[in-house]
Amino acid sequence: MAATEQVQLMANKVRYKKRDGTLYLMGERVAWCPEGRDHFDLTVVYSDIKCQKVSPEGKPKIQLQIILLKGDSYVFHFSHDDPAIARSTRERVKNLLAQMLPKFRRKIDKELEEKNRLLQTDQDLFQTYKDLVVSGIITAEEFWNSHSSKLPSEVGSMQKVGVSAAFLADLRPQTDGCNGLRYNLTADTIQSIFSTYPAVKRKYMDKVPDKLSEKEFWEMFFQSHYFHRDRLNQGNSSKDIFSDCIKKDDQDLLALLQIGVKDSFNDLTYLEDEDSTKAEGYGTQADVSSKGKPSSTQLINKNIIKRFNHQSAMVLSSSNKPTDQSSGDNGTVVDGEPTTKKAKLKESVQYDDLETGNSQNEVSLNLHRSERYSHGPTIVNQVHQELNGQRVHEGMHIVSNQCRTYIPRLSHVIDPSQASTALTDLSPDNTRNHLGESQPNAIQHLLSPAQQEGLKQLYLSATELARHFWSCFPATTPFLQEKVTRMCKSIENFHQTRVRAYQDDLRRNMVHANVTEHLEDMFSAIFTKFNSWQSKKGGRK
Amino acid sequence: MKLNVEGLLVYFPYEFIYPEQYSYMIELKRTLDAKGHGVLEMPSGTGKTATLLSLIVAYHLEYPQVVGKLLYCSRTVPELEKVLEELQRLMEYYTKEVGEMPKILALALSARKNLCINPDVKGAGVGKEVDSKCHSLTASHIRIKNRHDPNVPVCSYYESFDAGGREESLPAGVYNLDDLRRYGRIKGWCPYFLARYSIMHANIVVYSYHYLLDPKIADLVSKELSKNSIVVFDEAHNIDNVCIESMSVTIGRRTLDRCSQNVETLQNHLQKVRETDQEKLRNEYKRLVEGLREANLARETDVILSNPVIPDEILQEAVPGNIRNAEHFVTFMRRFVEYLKSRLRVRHVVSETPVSFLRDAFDVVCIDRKPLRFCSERLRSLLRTLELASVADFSPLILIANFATLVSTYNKGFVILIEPFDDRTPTILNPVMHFSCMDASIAIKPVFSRFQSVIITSGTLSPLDMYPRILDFQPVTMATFTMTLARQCLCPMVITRGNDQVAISSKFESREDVAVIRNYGNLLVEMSRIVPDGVVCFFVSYSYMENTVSSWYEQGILENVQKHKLLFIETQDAAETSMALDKYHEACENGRGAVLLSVARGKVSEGIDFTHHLGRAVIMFGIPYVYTQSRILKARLEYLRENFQIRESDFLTFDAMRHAAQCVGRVIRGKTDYGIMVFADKRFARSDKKSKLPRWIQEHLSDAVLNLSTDEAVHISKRFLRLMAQPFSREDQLGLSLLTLEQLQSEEFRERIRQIAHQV
Repeated sequence: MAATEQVQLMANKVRYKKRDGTLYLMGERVAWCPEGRDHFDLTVVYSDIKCQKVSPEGKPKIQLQIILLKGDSYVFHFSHDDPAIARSTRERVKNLLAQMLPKFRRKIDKELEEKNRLLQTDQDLFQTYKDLVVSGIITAEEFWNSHSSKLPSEVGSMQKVGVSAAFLADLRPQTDGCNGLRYNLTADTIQSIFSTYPAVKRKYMDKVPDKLSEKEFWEMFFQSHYFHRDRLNQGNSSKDIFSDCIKKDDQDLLALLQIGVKDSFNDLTYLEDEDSTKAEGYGTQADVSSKGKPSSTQLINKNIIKRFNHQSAMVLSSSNKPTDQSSGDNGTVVDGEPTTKKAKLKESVQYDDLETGNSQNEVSLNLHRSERYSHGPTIVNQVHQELNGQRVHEGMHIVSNQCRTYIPRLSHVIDPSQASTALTDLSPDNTRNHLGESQPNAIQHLLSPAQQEGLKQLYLSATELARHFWSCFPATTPFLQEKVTRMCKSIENFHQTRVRAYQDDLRRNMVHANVTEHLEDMFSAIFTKFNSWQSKKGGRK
Repeated sequence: MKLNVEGLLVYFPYEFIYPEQYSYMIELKRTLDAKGHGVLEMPSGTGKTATLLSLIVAYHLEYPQVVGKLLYCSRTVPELEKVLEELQRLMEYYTKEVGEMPKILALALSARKNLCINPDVKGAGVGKEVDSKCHSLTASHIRIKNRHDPNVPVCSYYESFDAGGREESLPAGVYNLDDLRRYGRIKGWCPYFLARYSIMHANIVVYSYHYLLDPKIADLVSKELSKNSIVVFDEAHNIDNVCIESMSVTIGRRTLDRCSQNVETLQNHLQKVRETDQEKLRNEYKRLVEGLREANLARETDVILSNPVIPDEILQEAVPGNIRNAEHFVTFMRRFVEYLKSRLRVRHVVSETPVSFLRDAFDVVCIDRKPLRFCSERLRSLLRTLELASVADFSPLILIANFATLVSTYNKGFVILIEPFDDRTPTILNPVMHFSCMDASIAIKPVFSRFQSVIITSGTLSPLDMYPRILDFQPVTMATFTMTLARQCLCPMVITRGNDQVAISSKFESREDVAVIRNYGNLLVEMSRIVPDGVVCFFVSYSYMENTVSSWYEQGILENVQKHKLLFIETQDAAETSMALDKYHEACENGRGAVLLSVARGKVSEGIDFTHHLGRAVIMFGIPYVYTQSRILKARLEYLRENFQIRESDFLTFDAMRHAAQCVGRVIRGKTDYGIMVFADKRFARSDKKSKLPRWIQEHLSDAVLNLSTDEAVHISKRFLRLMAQPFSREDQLGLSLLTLEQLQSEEFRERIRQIAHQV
């Protein structure tokens, strides 16, 4: 296999586990071969690699670390005598890896990770998984199909992390002790800079790594006037590679201004009802054009303001989905008038509390931890202090009035016997309760904790299987028909092995109560259905 | 619900009513009964518009002879649209209850920019260009030309309106701007002229102040409105400034230079016309001799310039002889422009009355008062005769002509100020001549005298007695209403010092103090930390905001703000600010939260509401006093003191506090809304400032919140926000701030409602 694969890069004198050897970067994997051998001691497929790390500049050891999805890591030490060569080799390896990894980083990894995590956190699910999938009763795919709701949906998991408005503020320079400044850049900050200032990103793509190293690029960025907000000296220093970014930004801003604001309620130019007579010269304000040139400090202040507005707008738009912009929220246009405007107008004259029919289409809050939300201040005491005598009296009056006029609407209530029947019908061992023979907590008394746990597992797996089985009906497609057969077999299998084993276990432990009766019922229902289905199918043939 | 307001059946399009709404109806009805004027202050967000409309519509339907028409004036276009939307709702309710829609025609009128449907014209975007383009397609001489030569472009929408739109009047209904455009598109008629034409027989007209107050427009649009109309000025807290603006003129060096060019162009045209069509000029001359007023002859589309003087003042005389001849008039104008130029050459500030200005003009260039008065009339006639294509180019000359007419008509209540340079840049020569109106009552007087009832209403009109004084009228009702609340949903407080106990104030001596700026900054950081969603801040002026923002940037305060919220800042550019505002909305909607730094008296503070989560807190950094060094303001203050007995400090405080109230009132737009109002200035705690706030804010400003430091304020805010975040249902409100019909009819509530209105 190695022979057919193309070797993309070969790096000599790479130490791994204190042995010298050669590092190969191939089409689909990384491999390391110790010196003087002809087989790889270590091969790692790209798709298994989570990320790579390199030792910081200036360190004597020039290293590259590969971290796998599983969490293992391999450290390679570039041990050429000349550190410059070693470093350049390492850089080449790093760059190639950086190119290769994204290609192989498939979505499936993410899914696997997610599933893995879910199984680890949910013990019951894990047990069911073990029972059904590991034992080969159903395939993993089928299992996850029925549990897809538990997996975080694609959209949810893909929610982008927004950009903090203060990301540049967090980027505080520190003195490095010898009259220099040091900026700590993390991947997150860089991401923030890129998504906020696309112009910088383009520049980065342009220049790094052919013309500038990454470090030089960021050095220039921090020295640039673009980063510092006094943009007065733009264009003066030809060295500043970011000067055209400023121009680009200004152009973007102008373009945005040209489009204008969609919501006319926010459009200040729409506010004024200007008529021809409201021309310049009327009124007490002198026309703006005749004003003197603003001083340089004023200009700087204006630039700062502009800059803040721009930055906030960019931060805001960076978290928008790109689809939003293409579709726009102009609403459908009826006769040239946007309908959203009409809706806005309607909304603005609406007084919710003056009307009875409250809108039904309210969006409910989806809370992960509701207790945190509803934990309001304890105000009861304070309210008492704030209310004066008259208010309290009124309140009392209202409450007592309500009590007096309270009429229970009994006709709308389900009658007790029906309610209890429904309740028992829905409980597993309904027959027994129905007869009133046993105490409510019979199982707790009958079974040891371990046995209870076992029963629970049985139920989980059995219901899972049963769900698969029943979900196949009506079995219209060949696939479903095939699945019905397979499921029935699986259930038989399960019944034969697991349930029997459990029953034997119970018998061994001298538990005579028939706790698996309901399970048996479930199975027999399944088998009856299967038989009737099969005979029907046979009859049709 | 159907209400009985002192014997009048009022359909109110909601199932519940706020007590103050009922109280407002009672006061309003009494005003209408007395056929007098009223000043009514009702908190924003208590459904003022719905209340007004239901009562007046009911009154109109009951006594059509007494109340013929409702002229509803508001400030901004979105507000106009909201009024019509409320009216639409009321009409729907009538239809549901009565079975048929009442025969009421209601429509909005706005500038061509908002009504035009001709794609060629509308594309121009800016109001002035749309107007001039429209004019170039619809002027009568162009239309005549078109009849001979079909290649001359005309507006097809206007043509078809002119052909058929006048016979068939608009069917009854409510026409918002969009509806007018839609109707226009269906019929192929020009919505703008349709609306202008339809005001005459409409029952309810909703338009902006200018159509009634600015004599230049009012003469065109609102001249023939019947006397038994009711005029409502909504959001009227700034009405005196609108009056003053509409009568004032400002002339700079550039305007005069362009004027000279205009005069040259006119001269050339005259020459050409004289060579080709002498008859035309002779006709004009004849007309002027006869003193025929153009108004009767001029078609509506031709009016590009109207007399800036209030209709009563216009003379019914012939144009004086020395400017009757077109060439003489052009020479006359040239002389006048040159005279103005010479006046602008002074090196010191000049302040004089119109009378002394006219005397000087007579002494120096022998320009008499009488021909000056006819300048704008004469220019109008000339421009029409010459059939110029682009009248917009002549706006500087029109301005000067208007100025000439104004200055020679009014000799009281105006001042002429010539400033050779801006006070802030005393080295740069930039001469400006202000012709400034000082008396707001001049522009509004005809409205008061012409219409039987004028209602001035707003959320913030305190102190109420100020308005009748500065507008010079006698109201029959003056009332302010409180806001009945089931929970205290507004939390005003005065922050007087920072955490370091240094007093904070925007007063001139200390506003640049580092400690003050830092304390303001810390206040903003703290508030942005604890307040959810939107926080709006108002500064006293642009320059102060710019300076503060840059100091905050240097001190790293803005970075701390950004840790909690996104930051947006108002600029002097309207488009840029709109963008920032839009993004601010977006940031509040998607839950990030944002801070908007804005300026009192700016566009945002006047026209944008921050309902619910868009504004949970508003911070007023300092007291928004007007720039007191301005000479125009000084002249006005002096005038007010001499003629209306209003002290300077009283007026300044009044003016500052109404703007502050406007700013903080932006966050409360209803009883289900809630918001914190922070007054961050030591001086707000003084009783002369505090007492000028509207009652509905004042009554929540207890002594306990008058002298807070930043962390005390933060503590109070936290508690307030937590209380407000609890569920709030109708049941909590019912019986206290919300009434059913039965409750309204009970004797107990009648008594309480009586207490809500406070007569002044």
